[in-house]
Amino acid sequence: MGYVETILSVTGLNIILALSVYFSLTVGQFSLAQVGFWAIGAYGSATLTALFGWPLIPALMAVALVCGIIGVILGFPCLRIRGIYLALATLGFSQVAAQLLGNLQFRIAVEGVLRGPEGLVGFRNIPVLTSVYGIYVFVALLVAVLWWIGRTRFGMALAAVRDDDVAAEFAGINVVFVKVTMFALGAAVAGIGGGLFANYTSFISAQDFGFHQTLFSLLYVAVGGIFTFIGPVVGAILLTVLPEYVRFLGENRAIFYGVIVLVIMLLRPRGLIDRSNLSAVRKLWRSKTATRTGA
Amino acid sequence: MLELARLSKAFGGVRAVDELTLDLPRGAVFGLIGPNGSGKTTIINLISGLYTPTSGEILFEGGKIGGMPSHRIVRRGIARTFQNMRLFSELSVEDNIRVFQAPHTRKIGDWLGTRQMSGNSPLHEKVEELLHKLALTKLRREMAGNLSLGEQKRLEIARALATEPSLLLLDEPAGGMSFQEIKALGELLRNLVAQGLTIMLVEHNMRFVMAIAQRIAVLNFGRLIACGSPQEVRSNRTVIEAYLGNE
Repeated sequence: MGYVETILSVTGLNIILALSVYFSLTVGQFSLAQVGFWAIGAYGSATLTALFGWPLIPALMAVALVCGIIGVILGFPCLRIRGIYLALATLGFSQVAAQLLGNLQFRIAVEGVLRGPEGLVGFRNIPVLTSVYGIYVFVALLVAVLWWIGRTRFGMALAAVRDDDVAAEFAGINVVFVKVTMFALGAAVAGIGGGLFANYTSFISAQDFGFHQTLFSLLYVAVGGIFTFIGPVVGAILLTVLPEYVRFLGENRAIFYGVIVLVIMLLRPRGLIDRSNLSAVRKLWRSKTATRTGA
Repeated sequence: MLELARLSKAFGGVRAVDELTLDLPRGAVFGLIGPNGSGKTTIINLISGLYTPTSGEILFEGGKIGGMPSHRIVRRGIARTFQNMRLFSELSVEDNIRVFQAPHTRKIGDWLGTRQMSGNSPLHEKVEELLHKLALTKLRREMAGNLSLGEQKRLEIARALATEPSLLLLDEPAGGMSFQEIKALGELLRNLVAQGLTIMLVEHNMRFVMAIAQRIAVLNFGRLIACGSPQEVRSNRTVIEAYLGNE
């Protein structure tokens, strides 16, 4: 793996993580559970592919299903809480999932060699079944799905629930169903992301799913903006690529990271991509199209 | 059509609605008046499912609806507006109306297709009709949060009508409207009733209620103190003492 390819792959994986957060944000829920689902996806896919010889796509579908079901189970109690309490509950889930999986220890003989998760040492020798292309195919699929949803009545219903869930209920929308669905979809996306991560890096450990990863998932979305799916994509790209330009700072890169986030939050508290610059781009696009067609 | 049987709602020790029994006739405007805090909005909240009754029954078209989730009540044919408006401020006027077509968006294809929002679908035609009926056509692409108070009130009614209800609960629809707008609202409500809609109207503008309602119920401290035609209510001594006497 070359340097550029690695950075591209990590960026792609971070986009998937950010978009998984965005799924529940479409209905106004800020979930910090995604890293927990990411860990479940990673360990699940690693187990299925390394120990049971499953191909990648069925393994990813299986972890997506498991994460989706856990998402439904977790989604119902999470509907009762909001804001900081929802953030704490979902953060708790992430921490519990990461700790449980990080301490997982069992070995299975595969072709005469004992393999499996080794607790804090991690899970080694996971088959590399994906590449930068595989990661970006999934990113493209996610972006296409979110773009499509935004153009449909379902997308409009999501916007309504995010804006005012009480009024949305009086529009005849089953708000509980919509919220749990989006929470479960976000969980499934995070599960697939975790699976891709494990089958790309070939080694995972508890450190990959720590609090810092949860914090980054939050920052990608907060910096990029929550108004459209483009925000989390931009946030993930920016916060993955920019720190690479200051590698010479060594350990002090964390300070640079903090400063970037602070400056962006001060200058654009609603994130880099919000309604105003999005409508400006749309107007520019319309005027250029009109000039081209001579209208 | 709608029957409230010994309906009560208590908040702690306060009984906002107390043993209320009412029968709403079909195809009429039913006024609900009373001083502030008399329980008018609580009744609308109970009928529309925002609150669960403490005791008593709410029957709509013969079926119990008390305590049912609001989205299911809407699908049964009861729509409402809010005293403190709850428009989707980040959506345009036409999208606010489209969201309220959810009860008639039943197929997966209607939810996930973009074609259903174009000019040749019945749902789209209904949006056009409501925009025209509520004089909102010119404002269709305006964000709901940018509208004047009167325009917002009209949009709230348009949204409620988009659910195609048989019973419409209006919570102070004329508040903040100009004289001309109130006149137009009166005409609209009369037309809707002529087309078979039943309306429960909570309103403080007495001239408006008296002119438009066929029957009026008067509440005080959550209890029914009078019910009858506008003439009967206007001349009722208890009503004059509790409410109208202050006008």
